[in-house]
Amino acid sequence: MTFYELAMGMKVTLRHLLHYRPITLQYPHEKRLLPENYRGMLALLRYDDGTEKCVGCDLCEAVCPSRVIRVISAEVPNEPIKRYAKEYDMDMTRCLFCGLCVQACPVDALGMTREYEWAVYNKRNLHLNKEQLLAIGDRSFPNREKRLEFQHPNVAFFNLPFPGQPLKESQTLT
Amino acid sequence: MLDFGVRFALTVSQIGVVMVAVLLTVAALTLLERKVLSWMQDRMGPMEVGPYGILQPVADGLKLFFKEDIIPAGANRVMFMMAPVLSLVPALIGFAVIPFGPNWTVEIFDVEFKPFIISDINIGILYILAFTSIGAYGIILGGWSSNSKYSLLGGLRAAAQLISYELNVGLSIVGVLLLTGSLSMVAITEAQAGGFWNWYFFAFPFPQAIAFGVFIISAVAETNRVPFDLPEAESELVAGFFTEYSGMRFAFFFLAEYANMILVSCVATVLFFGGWQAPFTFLQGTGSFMWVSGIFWFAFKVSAFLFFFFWIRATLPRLRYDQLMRFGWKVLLPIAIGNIVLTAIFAYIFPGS
Amino acid sequence: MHPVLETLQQQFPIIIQSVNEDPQRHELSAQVERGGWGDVAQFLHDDPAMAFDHMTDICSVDYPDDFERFEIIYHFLSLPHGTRIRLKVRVTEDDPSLASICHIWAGANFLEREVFDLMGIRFTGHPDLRRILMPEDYDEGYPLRKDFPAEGKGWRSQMDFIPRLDEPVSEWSADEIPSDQRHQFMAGDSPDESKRTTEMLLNMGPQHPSTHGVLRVVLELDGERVTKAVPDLGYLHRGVEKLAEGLNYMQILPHTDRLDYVCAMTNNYAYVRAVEKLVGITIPERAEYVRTIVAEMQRIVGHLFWLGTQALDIGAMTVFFFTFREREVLLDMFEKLCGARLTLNYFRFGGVDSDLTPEIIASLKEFLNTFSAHIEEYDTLLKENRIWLARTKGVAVISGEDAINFGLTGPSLRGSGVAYDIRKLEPYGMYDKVEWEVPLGKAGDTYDRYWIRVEEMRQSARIIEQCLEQIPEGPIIAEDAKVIPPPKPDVMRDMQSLIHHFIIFTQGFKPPKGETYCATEVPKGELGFFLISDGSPRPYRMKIRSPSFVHMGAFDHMARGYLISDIITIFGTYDIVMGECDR
Repeated sequence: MTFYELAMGMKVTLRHLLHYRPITLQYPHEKRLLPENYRGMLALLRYDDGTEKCVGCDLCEAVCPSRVIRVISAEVPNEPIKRYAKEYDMDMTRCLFCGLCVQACPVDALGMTREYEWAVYNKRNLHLNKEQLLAIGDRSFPNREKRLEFQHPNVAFFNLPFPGQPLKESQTLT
Repeated sequence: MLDFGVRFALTVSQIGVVMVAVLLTVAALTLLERKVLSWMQDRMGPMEVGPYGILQPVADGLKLFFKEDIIPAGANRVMFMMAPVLSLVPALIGFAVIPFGPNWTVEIFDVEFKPFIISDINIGILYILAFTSIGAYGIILGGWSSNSKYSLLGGLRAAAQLISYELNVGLSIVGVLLLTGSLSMVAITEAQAGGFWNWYFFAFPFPQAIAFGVFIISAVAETNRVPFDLPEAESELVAGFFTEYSGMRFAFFFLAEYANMILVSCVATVLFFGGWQAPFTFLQGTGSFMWVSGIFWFAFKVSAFLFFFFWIRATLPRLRYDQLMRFGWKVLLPIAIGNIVLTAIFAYIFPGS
Repeated sequence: MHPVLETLQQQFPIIIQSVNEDPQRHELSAQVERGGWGDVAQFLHDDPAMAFDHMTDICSVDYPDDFERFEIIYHFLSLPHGTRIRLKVRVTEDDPSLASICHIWAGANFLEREVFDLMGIRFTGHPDLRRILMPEDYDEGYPLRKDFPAEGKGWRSQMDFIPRLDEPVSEWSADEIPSDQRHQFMAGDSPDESKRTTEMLLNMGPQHPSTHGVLRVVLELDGERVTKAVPDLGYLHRGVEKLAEGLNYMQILPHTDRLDYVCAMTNNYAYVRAVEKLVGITIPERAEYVRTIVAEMQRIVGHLFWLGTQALDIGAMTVFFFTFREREVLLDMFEKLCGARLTLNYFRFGGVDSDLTPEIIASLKEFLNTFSAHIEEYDTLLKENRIWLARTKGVAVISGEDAINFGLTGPSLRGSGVAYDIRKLEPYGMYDKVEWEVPLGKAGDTYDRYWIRVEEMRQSARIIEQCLEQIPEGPIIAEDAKVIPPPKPDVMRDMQSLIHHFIIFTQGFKPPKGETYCATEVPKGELGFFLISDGSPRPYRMKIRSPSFVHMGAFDHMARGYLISDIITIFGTYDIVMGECDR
């Protein structure tokens, strides 16, 4: 009729009371440091000269497991070879944040940001268009890449020069 | 007539002071319980309202006060509305006979007045037992009148549990009553004067430590606290007898539970740990300082019991219903009766001590 | 030919229409004539040379063009011999009925109900043939038939509260519920109900604090004692199997995260292994080590989650916070590894998504150093605590024979003393290269299952420690241009890689025609993926053998005679996750 093991349990809880080391994070006041590869809100990216990376190839739309993305691509006016996404919509209510679209994108035009505070009052607000997605990309990735043709010699070799895209003097082949 | 008026005014103000003190303690307890639990669990507890969350009880109270009061369809309206009151009032009424400080008598306008006890009736402990039993009705009626099966099961569990453990509470304090020879709370406190070795927990000729063990276990069961919180077992019966309650009525049950906790802590203090008496007489102080230290020691002992309540809540799993009943009837009851027999024998051998 | 198939053919020369032994995947299958199915099943169970005592799964496939339209596929496992067999029976559309095998394997009860629900096959002799995942009043057809649209039929597919890309903005209507459909909930006052004096019906769930999601159980009570417990599943049914038929193999991967969302990693592993077995990919050694490590990390996470919630259900709330404290540390590591905490999507065909960095390895080692002390802490609070013992010892007892008959797997089966662990029986990953033990219970009660899970956490820590010592350098993903997307930098530079990249991501890869069943030991038990490929980039049929669903089949058996308080314990002791149970 001893309650030894109960007393040992009581000792454990008392020890935690006396050596009080909380692991709580006071969320709205403190925030966790998210890793670089965090899979948060999706964003569209731009090159350092401000042009959109997206070439409207539809790979992200094809690979998305829950049909979040809708792309309508068109030719860039006056540039018959080059295409871009005329419309680019994402229905974030369905997104699984699996990252397949980012993996699929051949020009790295999509990125997963570290934004996660996307609670809204109206679900319609999670239906994002191209401008909104680009805006997320602009604020999340301030350091933009150089244009693809300046990054990769092969791309440059096969595709240069894009009509109507004269080389800027500051940008040289690497 | 003046005599009556003064007495009435004094008593009412005394009741007011005690009620306010008790309700404030309840408010503080709701916060403290959450804080203590979270400290034991490596958490912080409420931190948002006020610095370190100390205004949380105010926020909780406001929220409950302004919440919609829902009466379920098919509920027995009268009983449903009466049950929380029936639960809270007996819990508060018990404080009338608790001596919070020295048994002084002062005369105000020729009226004899005891400042630290509302009413020193000579059957104090019996009075408390009687009223806590009535509190069970509130729980049973609340469970029955809600027209919910979870509530009903909770209410029925409460009925069986409270009756069984009421008995153990009653029997466990008989030892103390045998040694004192009085049912008056004041007399019991006075009998334990002169240092902690005179407290009934340690006292010659027969220390009531076992009786205290039975009492405190039964008290936890009486107040429906973990590990005996079967009437409201949240993982089994959602919230047991108050599943269907909301708003102020819910708050009444909540208040009643905490008021009961304070009450049994007070009773344990008075019966087994000398009430307001300090462990050593030199710590008691003299003259007018005596009442300050008296109230301090009383509050200190009560707080220790309340902490114990939180502590076991943080540590122990919940018993099952049949185990609870078996424990009450087959373990605690024989121990309590054995304690009475032994105490009686020792009290007979060493009379007058 | 395998002796099992030979014996079958000799015993039933006419009923067994054909047998097949897959040389690459080492799987046995036989086509059974429908009329003799009952005899074959009885023989498989009773004959000592066969001894297929463990019913793994029942699956149904629809071939709309064939005369015998539906194929019902049974998977059995012989625990004494360690062999698996797949038996197929064809039925026609006009008369979709087949003999039930409930009386032989009790676990077939729920599985046959599922086949009836989703494919419309009637099992003659089944004691309780009702819909199980779909609502009982569902009359729009059988969802897994190929002529049933993937987006659903009837009013349920018309629910429009989620905005769609291709729909205009709709205005919210004030009266969403038509006034004639509004009923006030009132206690029934029919004389029949009020006269019931013997037992009470208690509806536990789907909204209840401790039903682990949205499980609903209808309890018949005699006082507080349970005389009958009927689980009602399907509140979280998403139709993953139907969904998978419209997605290519790579797109299914994120959906497997949502099966058992407590341990997404192991679901990924199970699915990826099944596809790799189907396609035939060999995995680099480092990738195998990484997979083993993360799978065991996830097992620890799953068991910690289980221990915390089980203790909380029984009332020991502090254990819950302590286990979640450790779980957070592991989830942080997952986050560093793959960017997500819960729905990880980390595995890839042929390897894994990203490599273990030295930083993660260091924090993992540090975690393992303190982990045993943390387990000691839980033990102090629970292991010998007399209240915990009283609540778990002798509760939900199931004997070894019953457990096998009900098809239980994982800790639920090992608690009854049956040493069935796929990691030992059919080793995959690196489990045969490291030393570890399978903890076994004796009594088959809740306490034994608790002890096994705590012990498995210790063993998992042991496995991770050894793997971390042995792990070699090397690639983390296999190279196979047809199946595995080439690395991203190559896509930018190399035209051929770009072409493969486009093909894999637009069309998906095409596995060879065939079928395979692949079982993986997840924290809950045996998670099996059965894939049928018709050579297209999408699976013709994908069946998930979810342990939680099979375990729910034994619920009534285990719950009868216990008290309401024990029902909560029994919910917990299976470690059910409704996402996986309802799929």
